[in-house]
Amino acid sequence: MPSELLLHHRLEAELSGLWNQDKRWRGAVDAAIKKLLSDPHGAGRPLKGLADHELQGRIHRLHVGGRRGYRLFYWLPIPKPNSELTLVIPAYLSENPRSGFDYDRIDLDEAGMDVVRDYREGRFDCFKRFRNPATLFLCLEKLKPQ
Amino acid sequence: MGGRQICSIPLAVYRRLWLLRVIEQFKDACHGRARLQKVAFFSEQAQEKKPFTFQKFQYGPYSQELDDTLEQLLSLRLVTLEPTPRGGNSYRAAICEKQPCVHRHWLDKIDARAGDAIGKAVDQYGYLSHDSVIDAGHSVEGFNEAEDYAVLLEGDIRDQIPVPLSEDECEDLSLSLSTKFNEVVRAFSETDWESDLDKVQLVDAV
Repeated sequence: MPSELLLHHRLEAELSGLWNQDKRWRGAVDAAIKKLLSDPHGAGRPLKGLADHELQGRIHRLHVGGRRGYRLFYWLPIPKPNSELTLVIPAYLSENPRSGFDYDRIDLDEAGMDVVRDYREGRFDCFKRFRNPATLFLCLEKLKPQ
Repeated sequence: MGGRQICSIPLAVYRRLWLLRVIEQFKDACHGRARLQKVAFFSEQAQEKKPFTFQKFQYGPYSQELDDTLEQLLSLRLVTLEPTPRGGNSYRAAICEKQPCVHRHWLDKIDARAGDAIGKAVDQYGYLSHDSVIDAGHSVEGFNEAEDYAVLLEGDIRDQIPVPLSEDECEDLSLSLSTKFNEVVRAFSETDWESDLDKVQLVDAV
């Protein structure tokens, strides 16, 4: 089943910041996005031990740039019976590489509540859909701060 | 330690885990917040790491931090708090039956001695009558001489606590016990993402 990335503009800007930072992080984002679109269920690891068992296996954590790198959390909705694609929704990209942040201090919007709010309230222009990694990379490049 | 890497978890996470372990130790449920406070006090008194600070209050040692942590567990839907048939201000706290039990075992993995201390305190004080529990709280050494609100037992854990878990386990634990993160995950699960998908621009050329 093909995959499609539903990307909120905040996440797009954050990924772009990383993409345009230097060669190392560009390579890391490149690898992460390609993995995410080619194998969303296998790219990251499902978060274990969530309080509500109905949420188990839907939120995944992907290392961007290896174990000491950034953390990208993404949501995989349960596909509808007639669905022809796997939807991948990035929710949260850590602001620093691992060890530079504390999960207990993230705020709700950083963690993805703004993604949910904008979608539920019909602000669809806050989002873009991507199926091809190369197209996304061009967008990330274009967002490069002047 | 089993050769495991030592990583750390936030104090807030350790407190949630610790209190879950106390509530889980009760056979049925913990009847009354006062009982929960006293059992937690005696558990903590007997162990090395002290996650909560207890002060002198009218009904014995009391920790505001513990009360706050209980609220967080309620918000995480890991614990239920229901009125008891006794009425008034009486509640029973229990582990939510619908939830997986993964968290209950984490503390034993991190610090088995804490689990032992909790087990003994629940056995000794957890099933006494309400009045006996209050009496036990009043019998704490130095309680009568202490001024109101004086610190009886001081928490001694800083912001982070080292634990013998892998980094991935620490991250899972921190996130799965984060009230904010759970709120966001729940919101994601309650959103119908597919119905309006065609209203979002599909970028296939730039």
